[in-house]
Amino acid sequence: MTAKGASIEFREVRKTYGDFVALERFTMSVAQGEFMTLLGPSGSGKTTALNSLAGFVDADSGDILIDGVSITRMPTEKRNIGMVFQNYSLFPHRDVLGNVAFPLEMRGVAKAEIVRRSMKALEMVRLDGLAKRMPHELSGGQKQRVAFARAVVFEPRVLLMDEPLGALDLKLREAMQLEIKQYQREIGCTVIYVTHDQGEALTLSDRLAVMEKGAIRQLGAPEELYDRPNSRFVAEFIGSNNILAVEGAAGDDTLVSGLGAVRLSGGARTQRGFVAIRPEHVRRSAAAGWPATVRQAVFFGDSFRYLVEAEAGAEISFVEPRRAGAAAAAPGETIRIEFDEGGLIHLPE
Amino acid sequence: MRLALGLYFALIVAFLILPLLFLVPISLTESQFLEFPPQTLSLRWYAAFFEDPTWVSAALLSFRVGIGATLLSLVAGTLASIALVRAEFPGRSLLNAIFIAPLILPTVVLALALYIVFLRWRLVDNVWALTVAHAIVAMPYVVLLVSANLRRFDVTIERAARVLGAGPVRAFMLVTLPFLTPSLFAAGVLAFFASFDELIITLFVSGGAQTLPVRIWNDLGLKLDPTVPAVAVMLTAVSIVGMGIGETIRRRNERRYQSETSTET
Ligand SMILES: Nc1ncnc2c1ncn2[C@@H]1O[C@H](COP(=O)(O)OP(=O)(O)O)[C@@H](O)[C@H]1O
Ligand SMILES: [Mg+2]
Repeated sequence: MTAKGASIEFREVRKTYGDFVALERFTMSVAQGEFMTLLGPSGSGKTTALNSLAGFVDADSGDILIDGVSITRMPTEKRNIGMVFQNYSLFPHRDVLGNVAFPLEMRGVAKAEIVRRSMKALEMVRLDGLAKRMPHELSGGQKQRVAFARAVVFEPRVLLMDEPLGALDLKLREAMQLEIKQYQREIGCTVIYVTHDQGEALTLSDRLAVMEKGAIRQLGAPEELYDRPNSRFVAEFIGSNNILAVEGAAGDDTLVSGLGAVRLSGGARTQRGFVAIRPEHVRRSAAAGWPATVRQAVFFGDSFRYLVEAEAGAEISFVEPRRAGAAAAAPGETIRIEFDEGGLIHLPE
Repeated sequence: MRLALGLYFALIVAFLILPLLFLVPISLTESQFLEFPPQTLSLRWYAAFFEDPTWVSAALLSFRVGIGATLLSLVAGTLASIALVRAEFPGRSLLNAIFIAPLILPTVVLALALYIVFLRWRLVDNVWALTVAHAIVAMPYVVLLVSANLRRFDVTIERAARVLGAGPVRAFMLVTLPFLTPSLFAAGVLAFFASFDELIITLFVSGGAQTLPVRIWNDLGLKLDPTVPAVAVMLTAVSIVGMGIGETIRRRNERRYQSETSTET
């Protein structure tokens, strides 16, 4: 029995447009049935990577394999890949059923079977009641579901999604995220998902690759990237972080600008790079810690978000959950802050 | 300023439709001669057109060449548009200019050039060659309309068709072509009338075969009876109806399909 999802491998893929390098040494292995996300700012080469797998972009060099077989010379339509595009890309002159049936028609499936399978896919996305609607009569979320049903109706072993929720509003986006994850578990296909939304990437992915300027900066499980970013870029892109420059070392301590001597997690000692401190790893303390002046206190309902300035000049933001009886600090007030054990992460670059 | 513009507009419109205002009454005369205003009204000269086999065969030839030139220019013009819009190659803008040239070049120049070529290749007095010549004149309309429409087409829709299992030709036929239908229709109507009205090139290369405009032209030199204004009125009516139908269908299609797929949203 073959697994439902295929394995995918990018080997040193490179793509240039004139002088501009859109993809460089792009190497990545995706396991069967894995949900892999490409996360990065706009223009970082995510779509180019996806399109080279789909066959819309011819790589200059490198190789791409599905289940160990090179597909770089295979025409797009032979690759048997399902794909969902950012702007839905439904066929405007075909009704919902006609859109979903398209991949099956292309594969010469018998008529009755086409209708049966298309309706099943539409049932999965709960749109079986709208089979005769035209695309322009659907809402954004409905179009998104049709695009999804169309991409999976022929049970592809690889499913690509290029910012599929980018055009939806926040509430709908969060609901659709959960749906997508659930469908993927049901179908079992391998997914490569593209987004510039770090929250989405953390929620959905088994693993994710953070991209910048056409290259992967870090690849790993969501927690790994969140807890141990390898660079300032990744630390700033995933979650929010206070980032301070390293000025030198003194004994077991590291000297950081604007704050002074700190003890890094894992006892790392270093002369260079940066230190990242997550806002949730900063606490107000009664006696010990660094004196700091409150610059801003923003009410968030269940918490306060503070921006404070340490004596030596570092600006640090942190979150304090609200507790009954505890008074909030006011701007101008001087408080003391301390950091959680292991909350200070060294970033080599 | 507004007044001046309004006046200018009124003058232009008057200038354009004035000949028609004369032609219609003249064509409806009972008399042997062109007279304005006519003494007695009748449809005599309209009947004369249909009773004269040389008029009818001229009209049939015009339709035949017009339909041929339309189909030819639609196919060639659409293929040219795909190359101009989709492909990246040196000299693309030059090629674009060449496709549009027949619209800008003095027709006499084009006619002379075609005449010389046709003489050499013994194509004068050949209906097929005449059709090709008309297709050349009609093609700029197709290239202009179709390439403008194609530029607005979101290529990811065609890509969706490709990745979901359609080969390049099939994807184009099933997805892009339906999107282009409104502009193909409009271009087809324009192309047909570009050919249907064509006189100068036809005079040069047809070698005596008479299309409707040529027949009118020849008649002017001999006798001038009111059949000519009758034909002119019918030509105008056919043009207006044809363009009207074309434009209506184009708009309806555009509303239905293109609000969705245009990349401008
Ligand atoms: N056909 C093209 N010609 C020139 N540059 C391109 C082309 N396609 C993409 N690029 C460039 O490649 C870079 C990466 O694009 P893309 O992969 O779409 O990024 P992302 O999807 O991460 O936003 C962008 O800076 C873009 O301008
Ligand atoms: Mg993109």
